[in-house]
Amino acid sequence: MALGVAAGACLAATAGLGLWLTPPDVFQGDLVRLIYIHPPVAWVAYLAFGVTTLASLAYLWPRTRSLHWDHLAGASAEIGVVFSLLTLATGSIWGRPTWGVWWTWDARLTTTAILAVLYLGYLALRRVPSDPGTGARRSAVAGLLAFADVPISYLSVYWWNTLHQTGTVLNPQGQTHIHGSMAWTLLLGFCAFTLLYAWLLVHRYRVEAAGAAAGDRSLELALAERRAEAPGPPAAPAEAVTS
Amino acid sequence: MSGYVEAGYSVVAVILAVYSLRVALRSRALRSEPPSAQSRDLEAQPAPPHEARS
Repeated sequence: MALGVAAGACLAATAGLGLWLTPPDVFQGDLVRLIYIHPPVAWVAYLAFGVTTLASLAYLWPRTRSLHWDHLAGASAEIGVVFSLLTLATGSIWGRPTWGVWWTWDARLTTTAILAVLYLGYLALRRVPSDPGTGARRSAVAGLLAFADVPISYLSVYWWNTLHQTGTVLNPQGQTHIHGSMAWTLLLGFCAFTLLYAWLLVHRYRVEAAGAAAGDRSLELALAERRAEAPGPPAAPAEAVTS
Repeated sequence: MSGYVEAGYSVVAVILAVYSLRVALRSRALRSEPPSAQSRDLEAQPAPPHEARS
């Protein structure tokens, strides 16, 4: 509850500062206000997929193997997909007035779209019916493979010539390109969306674990019904003779 | 202010509000009636009359 209230307050503060109290940019004007939501949303997508990867590793590691890790991985991946789609949406809205197009096959945009599709596939894979152990192992491997695109997406702006700008805060030169109230508001945005992610993860994990338990129970019920419907075992020879 | 800025903030606000509400409602429903309680309730139900007679 406290986490949710803190996340809501920080998000409201970020929106208030970002929309009305911070100054416009010299070059971009008011469009710079999108910086207070677009990079934090992208950061949460990376964070969520990172948590999915760590949880997948924990599941695959024999000493820490537990279905709790699998539930955590699934819960975090779904949140990551929502935030990666929001990253694409806000980036597209920002790209239209600055680049003149809603979409371009730029390296950062393309790798981010691939990331969203990869984790949508991961979520689809989790829905394939199987016993819990096999499904969790399969999902863990898929989660690890999908994460390979995260560093590619992040570093794409340094590896290729892209329309997308390089890092504003974190970059190889270690130079922060944002200062004053704009920097503090951006930092608040990162904190706010991270808090929201943590709150969502707590609740989504609970739903994921309960859903898996319910799935197990319904599977057991279905198996019991099948056994009840199946014809009984053949009669024993002695009984057959007497009848 | 540019309409693009309002559009960006609105998209994020609406999508996250809908998703958060969905997750919170499902989580709250689970908390109010945990699955273990449901299965206990089923077990605690009296047997149907024909079974009771047998």
